[in-house]
Amino acid sequence: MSTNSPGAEEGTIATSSLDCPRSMLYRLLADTYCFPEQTRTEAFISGEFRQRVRALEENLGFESGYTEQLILNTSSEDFEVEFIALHEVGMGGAPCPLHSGHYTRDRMKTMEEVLRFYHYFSYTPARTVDSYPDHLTFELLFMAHLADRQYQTLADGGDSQSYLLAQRDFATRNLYSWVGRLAESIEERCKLGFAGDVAHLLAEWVAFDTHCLMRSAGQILPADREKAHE
Amino acid sequence: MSDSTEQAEYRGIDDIYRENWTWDKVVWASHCIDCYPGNCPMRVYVKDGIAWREEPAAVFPTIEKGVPDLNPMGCQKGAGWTRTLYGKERVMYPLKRVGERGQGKWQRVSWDEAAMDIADAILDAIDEIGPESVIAPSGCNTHTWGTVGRQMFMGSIGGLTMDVNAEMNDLAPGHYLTYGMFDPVSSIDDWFHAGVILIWNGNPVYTRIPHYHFIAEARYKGADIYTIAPDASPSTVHADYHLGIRPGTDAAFALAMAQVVIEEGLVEEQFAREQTDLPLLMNPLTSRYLRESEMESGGSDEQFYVWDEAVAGPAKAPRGTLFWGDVKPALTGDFEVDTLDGVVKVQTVLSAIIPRLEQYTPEAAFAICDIHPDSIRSLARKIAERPTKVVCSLSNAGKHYHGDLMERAQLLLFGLTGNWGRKGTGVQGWLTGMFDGWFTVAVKQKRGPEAVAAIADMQDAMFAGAMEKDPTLTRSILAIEAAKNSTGSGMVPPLFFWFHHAGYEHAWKKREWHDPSMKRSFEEYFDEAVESNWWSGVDYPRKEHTPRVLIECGGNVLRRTRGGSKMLLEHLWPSLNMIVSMDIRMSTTALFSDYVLPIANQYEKIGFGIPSTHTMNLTFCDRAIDPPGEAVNEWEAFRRLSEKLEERAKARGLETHSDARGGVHELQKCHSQFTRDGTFVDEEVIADEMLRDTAVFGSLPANASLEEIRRKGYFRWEGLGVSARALGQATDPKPDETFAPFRNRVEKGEPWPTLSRRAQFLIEHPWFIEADEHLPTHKNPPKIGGDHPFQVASGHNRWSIHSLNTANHLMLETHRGVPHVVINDGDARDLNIADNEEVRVFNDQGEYFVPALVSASAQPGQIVMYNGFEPYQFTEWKGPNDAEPGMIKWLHMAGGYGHLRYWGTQWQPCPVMRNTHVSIEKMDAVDRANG
Repeated sequence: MSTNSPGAEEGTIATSSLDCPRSMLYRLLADTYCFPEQTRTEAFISGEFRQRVRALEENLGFESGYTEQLILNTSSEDFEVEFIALHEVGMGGAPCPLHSGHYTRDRMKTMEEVLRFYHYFSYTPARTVDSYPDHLTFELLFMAHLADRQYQTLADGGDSQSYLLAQRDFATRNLYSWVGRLAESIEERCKLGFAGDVAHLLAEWVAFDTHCLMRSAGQILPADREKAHE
Repeated sequence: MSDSTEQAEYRGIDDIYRENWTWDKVVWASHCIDCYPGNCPMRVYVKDGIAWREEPAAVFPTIEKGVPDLNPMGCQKGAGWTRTLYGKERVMYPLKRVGERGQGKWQRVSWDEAAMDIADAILDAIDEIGPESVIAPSGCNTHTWGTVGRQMFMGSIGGLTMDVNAEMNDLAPGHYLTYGMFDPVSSIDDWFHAGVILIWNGNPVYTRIPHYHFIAEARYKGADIYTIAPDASPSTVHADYHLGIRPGTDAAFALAMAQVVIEEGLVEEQFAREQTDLPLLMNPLTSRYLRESEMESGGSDEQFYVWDEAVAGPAKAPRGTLFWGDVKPALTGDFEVDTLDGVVKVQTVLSAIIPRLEQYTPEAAFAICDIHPDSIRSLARKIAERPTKVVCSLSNAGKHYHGDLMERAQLLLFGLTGNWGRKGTGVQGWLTGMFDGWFTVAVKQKRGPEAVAAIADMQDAMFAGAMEKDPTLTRSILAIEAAKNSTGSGMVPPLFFWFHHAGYEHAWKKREWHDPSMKRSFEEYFDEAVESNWWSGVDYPRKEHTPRVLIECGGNVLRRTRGGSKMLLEHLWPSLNMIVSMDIRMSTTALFSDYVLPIANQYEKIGFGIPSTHTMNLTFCDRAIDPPGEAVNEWEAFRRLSEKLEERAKARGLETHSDARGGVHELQKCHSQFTRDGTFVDEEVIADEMLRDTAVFGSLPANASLEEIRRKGYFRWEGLGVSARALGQATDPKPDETFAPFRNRVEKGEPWPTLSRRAQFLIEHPWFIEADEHLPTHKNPPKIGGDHPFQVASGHNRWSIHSLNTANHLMLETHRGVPHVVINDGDARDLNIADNEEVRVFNDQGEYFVPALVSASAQPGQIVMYNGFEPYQFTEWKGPNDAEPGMIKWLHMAGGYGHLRYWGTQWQPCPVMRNTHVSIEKMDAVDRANG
């Protein structure tokens, strides 16, 4: 993957010193939603990206129905054009923006909350990746950051409850609440299957992981609660 | 990522909210866009590089004892600006089009690559056709950097910048015809002094949110508030009276009130004698003033006469003062004078007007304008008795085909009743002036006050010399004359661009869309105007100057232009090899551009409010945060283009080139000239120079600097400075009084910048005489758009500033959130149209589709389509402009007569849209496939 991955200082998948598969998948996905530089796109085209996803899925016991299709069948240039049209500009705004605040009624509140999470856990988004803290990449990297901390704390024999709860809350209040809509929106508008498939992979992973976090924290998601009542 | 090992325990979401945020900084801000008059001081709260919120800062002091202060200034748009800052529509990186224009396919490129491509396109255009093929429309959201940056850049290559006032159609042509300037502007707190407030061709409840309180406060003090509008506009709710005038008949209404004032002996005679040409003598057979050239051999053509009752003979009207001394001019009367050609019968201008007013007795006017004679008489008497003011930022009468007649009739009424040059009186235009440093930084060669003092000294010497030759001249008149002579700037009236290259020609040539009093074909008038050199020096681009490059900065020409995107895309776009949009967002124009260059928004760059006497303060907007992505301010964007242009000119060996107007341009030095060899690059330096230079001219305090305004947030204007438009206000700002323009004309007799040196109601230009518009009159609106039953009204909406905020969710939640057209409930019933149902609005020019807002507020036969919505928000991307032919009144091409001459933002034809005729039909009755 690209060496220009999101803020190497923040510990991308390329630089993570920990062997935490959850963190690695979050980082891999974070990298996917950075602006598509050529080296990054080449990994999509060559199958390297799919291979990494597969490897992590095996490790995590998670299986997405979209992984097999994760090969980009277009040029880097066309992918960039599609990425911009989906995520960056359009009439009245990009149709599938990558900032979580655009999926809420009040982006300022969303940005405040994610920033408060970042502050609390000493996480600093790199402005070189994006100007705003609610970018998908940052949110995924934050999850990776928390996952790493949890993993490290457990390895050190400490109490990781704090990180578990934070991941649960950040995921349920934020990531989980919008990546599904992002995936649907991309699928609806994008001609490139790859973009939709990655988005669905992302949504499935976030849902899967959020459920795991909820179960670990002894809670269930409202949707599951409804199913239980049925 | 910080590797902090000290991590507070997290137990739940409450934990992250426990920390009480402190701000990294709190800075001054305003919204330095075309939210005229703007200048609302705000405080912006910043943390972690995000501007989290803003709030109005009620910091303005009380100016005049007994008059409420301006506080708090602000509205929902300003207080929600962060939503625009962080809106979805922001553009953050230079984008290059890779699909068809409008297809929405973009590639990110570097500034360097974009600038290279644009520079080469400009050089190609210069090489192929000449610099007149490089066009910059004047977007109006360009404060502070765009205006100067664009003008310097376009000036350096010899390109053409279109006059902003014609583009946005905010000229008040009737003001210009009468005053020689369109833009008298009182301070907003001066509204409080009015005894009668006329909300006429305006809707301040929507458009003047921060200032409306002065209307309410004046009302509590005893003022009568009138809303004169065909619809029960939102401002009607808070008025004492609503006069539901028939659309387009305002001139008849005003003339009827003038008739009452004269009939009932309510004329303030001394005022009318001094201020107006009403006592001047004219020949009723020729409709021309009596001139010295008729009276004396070798006499002047510009020296006019009155009938001096003291000596029972003609006396010369002084040109250097409005005061009469010992002369006692007759206001009315028919006389005989001895001329070089024998005895000639003459009469005063007022005597020529009076019989015309008989057509507009209140009873006769009732049949025209549908306002009851009692209401006409009642209001006329009040206007004669009390200080009367037309509020709002400008009289939107100018957006009517016969808006000039409406305005001239209003001013006749005001001239008869003493309603200008005094507190609480007058009409309004819009103004930029006083901020002279805004322009001196574009011409001075080095930093420091000495460089600008030299400019001031040079102007002083020039003016002194001229006044020595002709003592009747004033600094104001000389400044205006200088502005009229400065045709080399490259700013031109868009008339010729539109006619030759933008497709207007087709609409303008439709005689049936003009007034029947247009005796000849439009082309004949156009050709005569050109052949007579009335527009000499600014009649560009000519037909042979096919536009090749268009640079839109701070505007949105595809939304704004009358005739709409359809016309420009069909007629102009195909000839353009390069279209560049510099914008904060993806506007409709940006969508159809070849390059979109990202511009810093408010709070992301230093800025100043629009310098105007409206608020009497220059407010400051600091750079609270960094711009996102690679956005830069407009100055820097033009500097980068300039830098690349110089580089490419050197690479291509282009030495110098001449423009068609005689200017010579050295592109190999254009960047060094732009920055004055690197002196003016940093926005902090330039902003500081702007303030200090302005202080040199006396309109800002002597200690004005960036540091000082950063501390205080604003400066109150202390003087008018040296610009023509500001000097035309003819009032010396005082620290403890509201500002009412033209006080020096009333109190000191300072003459007007017109041919007669007085407020002029007789326009002798042969075209005006031919059209019987040489004196104030009324004409019904022509059937622009064809023979259709509905007439369109419009105006600024409450939720956006032009098209800014039209995608702002917070603002969208305050109304229907989508474009809509207001239609009378009875009309809707007749057409079987339900509320919110989409309708087709169409005429012979075009069509658009829009949901109906059914309301009894609209007059039967009227629809109200508030402007600002982007074409892309409508079905098939057709906006209301698609059904607006953008007609101009042929008389506004007149020149070669007295003050009828172009200068920036002043006399020129402007496309109109009010009273455009349309039909409406229910959508299920429409077969879209068949159009």
